[in-house]
Amino acid sequence: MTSALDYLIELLAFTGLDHSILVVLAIHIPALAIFLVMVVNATIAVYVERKVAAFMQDRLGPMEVGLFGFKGGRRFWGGIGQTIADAIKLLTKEDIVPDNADKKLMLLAPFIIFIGAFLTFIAVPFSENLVVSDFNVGIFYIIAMSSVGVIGIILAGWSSNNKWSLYGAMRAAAQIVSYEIPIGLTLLLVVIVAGSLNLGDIVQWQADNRWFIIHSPFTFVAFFIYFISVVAETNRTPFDIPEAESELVAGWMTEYSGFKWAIFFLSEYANMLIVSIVASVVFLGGWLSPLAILNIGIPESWMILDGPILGFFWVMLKALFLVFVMMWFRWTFPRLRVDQLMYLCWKVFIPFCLANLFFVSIWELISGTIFR
Amino acid sequence: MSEYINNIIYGVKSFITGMNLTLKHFRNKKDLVATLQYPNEKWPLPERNIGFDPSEYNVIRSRLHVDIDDCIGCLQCERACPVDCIKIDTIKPPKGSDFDCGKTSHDTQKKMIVPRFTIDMSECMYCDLCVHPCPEECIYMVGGPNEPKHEIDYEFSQYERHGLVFEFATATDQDIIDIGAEDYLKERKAKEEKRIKGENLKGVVHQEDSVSSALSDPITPVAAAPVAAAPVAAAPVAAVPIDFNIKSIDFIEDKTVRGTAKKAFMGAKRAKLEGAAMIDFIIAELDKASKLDDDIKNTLEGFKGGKN
Repeated sequence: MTSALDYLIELLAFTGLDHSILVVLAIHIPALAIFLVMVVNATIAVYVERKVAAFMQDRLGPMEVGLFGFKGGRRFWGGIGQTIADAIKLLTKEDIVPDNADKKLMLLAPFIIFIGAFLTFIAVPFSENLVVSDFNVGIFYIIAMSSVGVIGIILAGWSSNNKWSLYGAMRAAAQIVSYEIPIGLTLLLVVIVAGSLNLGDIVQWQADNRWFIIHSPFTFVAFFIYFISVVAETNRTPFDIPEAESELVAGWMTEYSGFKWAIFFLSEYANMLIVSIVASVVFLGGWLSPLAILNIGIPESWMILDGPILGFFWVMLKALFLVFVMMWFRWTFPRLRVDQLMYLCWKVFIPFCLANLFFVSIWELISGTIFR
Repeated sequence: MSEYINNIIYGVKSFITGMNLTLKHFRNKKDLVATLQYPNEKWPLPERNIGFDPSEYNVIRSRLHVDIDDCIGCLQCERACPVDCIKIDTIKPPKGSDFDCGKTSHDTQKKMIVPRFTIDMSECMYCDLCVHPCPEECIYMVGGPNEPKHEIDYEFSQYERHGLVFEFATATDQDIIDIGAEDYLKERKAKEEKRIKGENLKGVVHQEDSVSSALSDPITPVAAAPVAAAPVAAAPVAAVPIDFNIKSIDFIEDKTVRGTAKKAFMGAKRAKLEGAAMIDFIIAELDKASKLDDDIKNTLEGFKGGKN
């Protein structure tokens, strides 16, 4: 697997500049691309989320705002310009900083959260060879970087000097730190089976054998534990106790407005996309087409569905379906209490993960001796 | 332990039930969405069942409508209106003119044309008093017994308040010229121009602008009159370069007074006043807002001398 950065450096080699300068030059292109992905993702995801919410509650959602007079579907999918109008509104809002807030930290917090999401994208593969930098410890890097955001959350809660913010930040910290463990353990299970931390190798293993979700009963359970845990880690309903609007106004975001709040929003939706892509790459075969990998008498000619461009399509299809499932969760389940949240993590997920880890080792041992 | 397992099984079951329920709503949105896109879609009016024939139901107060072809311009409705929301202009053809004003549906010969017939529905109080004096029965509330003449209309919300003034007159400019009343047209045009002028003025004349314009050109009588009183006369004092800037005002303790003083400072700066003239202006402004006391006045005067 080659990375996009290597490719760009090769491409820029004709300039005859030093390699270290080329790296600095080349890094800007993927950085811009990542930022665009984040913005476009947030814009579309907010619109879809509002629509999904509306339909699940027998409403219509935004219907009036259009782009240059084009409102979209007349019956259901109208109002396609709504998020763009909202974004403009957000960016033109007053940037309010409370008198007693710690102003430097309050300015710093959104950028730490943003950087956490931004850096995670470096190792997230959008397709075969379409990754900014191909780490051999890719999955470990993703777990590590996605936890950076919690520092920003605690900073935001503390520096706002507001009791709701502080409560929200404390809850967020407790929740994210707890749910890191099941996420780590489920991904460890995959790493044990595939024998590599590199996401490319993990997908290659799935191409040689089968998708992890249908590999064994334990990986099947692991997928659901992973997915529910990442829903909790991204602070989404039903695990949204850090920003529970009926209890804490907006949790750690209470005192933020305008541009800083927009950055929080951007990061939140970027995190949703990241965890969905990771889930689809690790458990659902990544850029492999569903037709070829299930090995159910598909003609050989259908293997062309696995090309690099279609690979991007498959990854995004799987990831966006998972994003949709997250939205679906949000409008189905009521919020968990703090104790229920901890119960679910410490008394259900972690024991199951440990048992999974134990049994999958035995399963691999047995199946390895029997079937090979 | 069994409770623990049961909890998990119950949790998974209720998880599936809940997800199914919302998915059902998501997929059947065609049948289930209850929102009505109001201005574009409307519920059909329910069949009225009020115990007797709707045509006898004479109390319906929906909206005034005028069949302008039947109007003879007798002004009886305008006089009857207790809130003066009906405005009618009429023009009589001059003697000897052969202009034909037409006939009403009751075969009455009309003797004048009606170039203006406006009803301001934002003022109308639905008293029905204008309906009864009309000799031609051409002004009426729509719906109810008048359903055959005009269907009921109770939704007349408008984007602007001006939109609630309904114009019923159909006499064109050509008609008015034919009848020989160019004066009326000229008058109407002048009125319209005045109105537009007034609208343009609205929101443009700020306090500070008028201050600066008054100061830069004290001869202009209109702008100078309300704002500038004493200080303008004293203004053309030779500007002495002294150490006085907006920070100098900070000695004033009271926030509101300080705010007024700073506002006056900016106003004076915009009017290109400097030094003593500026301080005079600030003092006058404070005095006008009755926020001046001796301490502030003395300190401000003190700046004139150059000491800080």
